[in-house]
Amino acid sequence: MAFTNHSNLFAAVHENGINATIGQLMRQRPSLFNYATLIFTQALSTKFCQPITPPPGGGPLFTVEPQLPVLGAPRPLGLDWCLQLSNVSIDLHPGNTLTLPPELGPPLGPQHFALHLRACFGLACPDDVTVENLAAEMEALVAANVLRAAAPAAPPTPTDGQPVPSANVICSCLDVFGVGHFEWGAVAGFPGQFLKTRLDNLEIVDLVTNPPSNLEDMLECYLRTVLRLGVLPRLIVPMQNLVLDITRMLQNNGTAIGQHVSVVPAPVSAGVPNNPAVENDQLKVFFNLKVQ
Amino acid sequence: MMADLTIAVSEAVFAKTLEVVVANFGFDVSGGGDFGDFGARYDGRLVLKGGSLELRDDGTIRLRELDARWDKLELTLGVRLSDTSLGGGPVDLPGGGTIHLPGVTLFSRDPGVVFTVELAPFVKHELSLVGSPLIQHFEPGVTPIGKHCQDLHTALKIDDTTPQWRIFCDPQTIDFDLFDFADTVGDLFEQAFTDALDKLLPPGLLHDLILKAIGSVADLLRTLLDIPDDLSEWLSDLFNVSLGVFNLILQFVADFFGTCISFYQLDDPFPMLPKTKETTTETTVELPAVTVPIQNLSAIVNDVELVVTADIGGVS
Repeated sequence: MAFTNHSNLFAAVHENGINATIGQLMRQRPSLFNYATLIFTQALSTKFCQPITPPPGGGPLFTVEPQLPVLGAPRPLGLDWCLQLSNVSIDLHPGNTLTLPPELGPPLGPQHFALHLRACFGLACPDDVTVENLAAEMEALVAANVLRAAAPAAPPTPTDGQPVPSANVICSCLDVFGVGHFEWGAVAGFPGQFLKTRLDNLEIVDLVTNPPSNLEDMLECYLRTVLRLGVLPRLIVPMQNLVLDITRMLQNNGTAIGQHVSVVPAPVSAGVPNNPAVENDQLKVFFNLKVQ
Repeated sequence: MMADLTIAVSEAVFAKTLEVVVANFGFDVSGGGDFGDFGARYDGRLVLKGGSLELRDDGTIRLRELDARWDKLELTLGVRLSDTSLGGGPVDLPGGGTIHLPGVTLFSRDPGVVFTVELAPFVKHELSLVGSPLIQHFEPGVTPIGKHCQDLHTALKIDDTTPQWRIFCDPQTIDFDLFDFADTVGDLFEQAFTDALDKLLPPGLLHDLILKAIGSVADLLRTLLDIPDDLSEWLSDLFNVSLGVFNLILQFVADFFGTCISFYQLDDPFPMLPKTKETTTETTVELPAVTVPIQNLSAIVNDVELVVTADIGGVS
């Protein structure tokens, strides 16, 4: 059976291609997958939970984030931390490369994809001596405020807070699984249809409290929100980019045309029951040609 | 083993694309030259009509009967001739007496004969070809490019500094019908000259004399221009070498259907995310482009569609 029996154009990407692309992305732009405070460029550069290979084209190893504030401290203090995402992979239906946790109801449902990643959080935990020294400083500040006594001159306060020095990064890694699907949709302010990635459910493995508490739910909620608002919106793909922009191709070949040739999703029909479709380990999209 | 990427383009897309190109293509040409005893100029606009594309089971694409028509094709020829005197002298009248007819001197101006013909209705070209997709991995400085092709790339601002996958339509057979130049132009020449004479002079003795002379002049012209047996060859040669019309046509064919101008190209590695700058409150960080290597690009044609497949290179 031909690929284009029910549409003008057909495009498919195999999960191997998606995972190879993710691998290239992690290799060449690690700052999308690694987040840490500035100190990790210097004193803590060897203290990441997982070492980061410098990208071949240069560029930052991670995205710099503010410190974790020490709540209630009389002057701003912050703890250093890092969050690293690794082992990101996708499994398109039928699921055969990822083993979903029971909470996500395996096996993977038709027209869905499974997502796995490993999230490692590292906290630069100050030792007791450092904390004791800083505690004395804090006490003096509190006393100065409360007793209105002359406090010792404090160093200039950085806007980000003074880091609490530490050479000890405690790491904890969790495996995260998710399931989702793809759909066409519009983006406000932009013409045309975009291929969007939707996350349906997420599960953190091995984070179990006894008795069950809301801790896991809270963390999962946070990660789900990060993925939905921080990661997946970056993955929308304008349809024109998926196959080819015929108008631009003709223009590049010296034939400027007065009409605009574009592609639109083929309507769902008996021949194309799902568009986009996730099947045979592939993400498939079907288009028709439109001349305006 | 399934390819990482599969793209299929149906025959309908080819047909629609050809339709759009035909509807929008137009090419203005003009130029000329002076060749001593004669000069020539042309001014025209080339458009496309008709044509159909067919995908075939033997892995080829067939373009059938794509017509190139001239909305306008004015050809102006000027020929320098030595002065020719006709008639004149005394003529005896039947009733007695003698009159003196005035003589006529032709071709006293420079050039002696200048005429413009509108060739558009008579000049029609037709192109049919069978081609197959040809994939080339272009490596700058390694993949050879001919000089003509290099010039063409420069003129068309084609970037030859980036490694690319290029897909050409490799023509296997080309059938390009020019037209019957000899008969068309020869007839037009005589007709144009006769028409001009009809407008200038009423029928009569002088008219007939000049008309007779035109035959001689036409012969003279044909001799001068060496066109009696193969006018088309001469014009083709003239155009090809000096005027460039056929160069234009052949170049057009070569550009689009040859191995010089690809109809689709893909940078390798393919830029997935562009180079960008990320600015925070404290610093601006430059993020290099993210690219993915494209491997094993192939294209297969069957009677329904063109299927292009490729793999994405993993991290080594």
